[in-house]
Amino acid sequence: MSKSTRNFIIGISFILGLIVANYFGILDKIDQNDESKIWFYNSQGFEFKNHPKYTYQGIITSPPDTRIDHQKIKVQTTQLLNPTNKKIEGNVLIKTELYPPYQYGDQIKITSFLIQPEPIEDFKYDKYLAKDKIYSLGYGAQVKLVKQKQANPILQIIYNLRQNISNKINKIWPEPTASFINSILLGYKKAMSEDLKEEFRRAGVSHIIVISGLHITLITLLLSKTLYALNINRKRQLPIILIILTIFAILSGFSASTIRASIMGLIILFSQNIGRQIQKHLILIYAAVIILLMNPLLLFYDLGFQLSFLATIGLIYLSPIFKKLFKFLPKKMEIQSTFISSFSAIIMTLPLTTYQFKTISLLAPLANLFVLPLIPILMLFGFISILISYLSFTLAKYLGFIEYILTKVLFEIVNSISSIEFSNINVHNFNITTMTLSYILIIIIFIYAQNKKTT
Amino acid sequence: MPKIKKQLSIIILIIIAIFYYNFEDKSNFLRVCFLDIGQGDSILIKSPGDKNILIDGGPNANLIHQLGNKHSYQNHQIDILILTHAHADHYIGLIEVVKRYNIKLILWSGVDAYNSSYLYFKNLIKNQNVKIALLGQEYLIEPNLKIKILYPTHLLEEAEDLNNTSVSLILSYQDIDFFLAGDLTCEGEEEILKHNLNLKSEIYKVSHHGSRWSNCDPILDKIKPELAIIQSGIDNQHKHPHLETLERLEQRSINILRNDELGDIWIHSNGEKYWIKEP
Repeated sequence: MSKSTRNFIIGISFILGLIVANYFGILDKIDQNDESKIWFYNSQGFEFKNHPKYTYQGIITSPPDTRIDHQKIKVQTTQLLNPTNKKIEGNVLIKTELYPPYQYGDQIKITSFLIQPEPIEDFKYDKYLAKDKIYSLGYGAQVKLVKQKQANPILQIIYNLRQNISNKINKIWPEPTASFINSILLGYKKAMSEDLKEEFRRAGVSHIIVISGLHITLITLLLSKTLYALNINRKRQLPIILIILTIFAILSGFSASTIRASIMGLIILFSQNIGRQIQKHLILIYAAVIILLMNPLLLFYDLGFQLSFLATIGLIYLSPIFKKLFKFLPKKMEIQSTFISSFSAIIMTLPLTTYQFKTISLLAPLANLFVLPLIPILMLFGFISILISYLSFTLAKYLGFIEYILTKVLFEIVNSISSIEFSNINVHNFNITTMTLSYILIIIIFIYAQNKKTT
Repeated sequence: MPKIKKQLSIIILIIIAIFYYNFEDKSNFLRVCFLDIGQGDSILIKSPGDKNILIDGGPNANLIHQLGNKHSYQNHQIDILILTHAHADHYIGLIEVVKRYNIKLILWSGVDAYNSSYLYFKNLIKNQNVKIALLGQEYLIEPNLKIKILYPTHLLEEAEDLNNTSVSLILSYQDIDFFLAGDLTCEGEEEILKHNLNLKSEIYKVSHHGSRWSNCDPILDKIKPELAIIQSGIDNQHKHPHLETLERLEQRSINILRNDELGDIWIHSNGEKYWIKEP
């Protein structure tokens, strides 16, 4: 057995091991439950009037999630103040009014109910929170700022810069362009209005408003092309691309999900440059193992991770097969390659998205064909306009108009595709068995196509 | 050959861009939009000369998304912004507007609320041109278009009910008048009536989302509106608009338009007539 085959098998066994461990409930056991943990004080259920309120203090350890009418803030608690005064630990996700906005690093005093997270219908909300080590929800929270800048000073600087850029974006462009650019450049995915997000979902392109491996690949390809045009060869491109990707990862919040996206994006990039099949298997497995060692629960409860992992599998394994099928498409302007890439990713993620959202977007491949090529251009023009706005706002405003028109075109495409009646079909009875069967079917077809190729 | 094609397409793109840049929904009419922002008030007024007036902002950050589609790219100005009173369903949406738009004048009632959310708003506007609205003030927007303040009738300090600090006004465009009074209750209406003013208006924004404690008979008899607009959200917890209010309006055969049924409601006027503009 060669070394690479051995490593591949070790990697696969690790993932299978995680699945078995999770089946027996070993992975998501709550560490301990005693008076020093905030979740010890949890009440059950949503009949608030019977529950006690607690007052406690803590530090905001990730940028608040700002929605249209409230903010959700992850707080690392330090001290319980009422009814008793004692040191505590553990995270709480609090829900509070939209204003005033709180920031990463703020030390705050909170009075709220403490509620045990529960699954919401099919969605395992409790497990979803558990992967971020949140076992308690702070509803009806009244918040008071105690002190600022109590967390990591480097991240503080990064987040301030990010906020500053976001403010610039909001000044240069009107809505909905502004929130769209906030999403694709800074990862503020919740900023867009519900109506627009629904349109994106119906058209089957909502993945473009979440920073993912796809974004990283698109940026990298664009960069690589630009650098190539500037006569910089492949070898020298790599460090430049890595530096720019790092800046992007930092700007988009340096969150675990962006770091994962960067890892995934780089895999796709390498897998397209490195021809040998076995190495592609390996890189993907290595990346998965590294990410899952950081947090094994992602495999089960993080849809974003699952989707980008599946999409990457699709790009690596399925696209060579579809290449034959879609030979007839014009090669001009990358139409063929864009269509094949998005089609492979869609096929591989389809069973999971159908199971999760109970709807299939029939026109997704078409929508992606139009929309995907626009994304790197939008990111580039957006980035340049923002950069210039630090020198001259007027100039940035003029330049930003190109971006504005392009986003209008994009919204128009998304809107017209999403409003076609048969663009979506609802599949209410698509359950976990159907999903598993679909994947088995995909694997069988893959093996069949593979054998046909070799003979 | 392909190079020429490329250049040509770029030139065409630039021409389209320039065309769009200067393109605005220009019109010789006064356009008043009662925005569908759920349970709360928000009214956008665009003058024939393209000045913008915004009254209240609704209960959440939705307003900023709605304004984006109603302004052209380069138009980042609100000429007069009016906060009728310091309740969340009237000011929350204004916060993003204040952050992003150039605002020339802010009018308000002069009475504060004391919660952290409102104080955040107050702090944002502290360096702006802020003025307290009072009966007798008139703001000329264009030669034929003006705002006449009716309430507060005198400088208010504290208030038991913030609704009764609502800035109330008549927007007057030649022969057509709009009566807009925030959440003013019957008590406040009485106060206005004491001053014996001409309140006759064609269009009436029903006060306090159609509450039975507002929109009392005496003021309706003085305003004599033809058209009433109710800004309330679907299935709101206050059950606005109240049946009593609807009955009072129906008794006087006033036409009723509701945001919760129709979405945004646009009314256009040329100064002699007004009409409801279908979207």
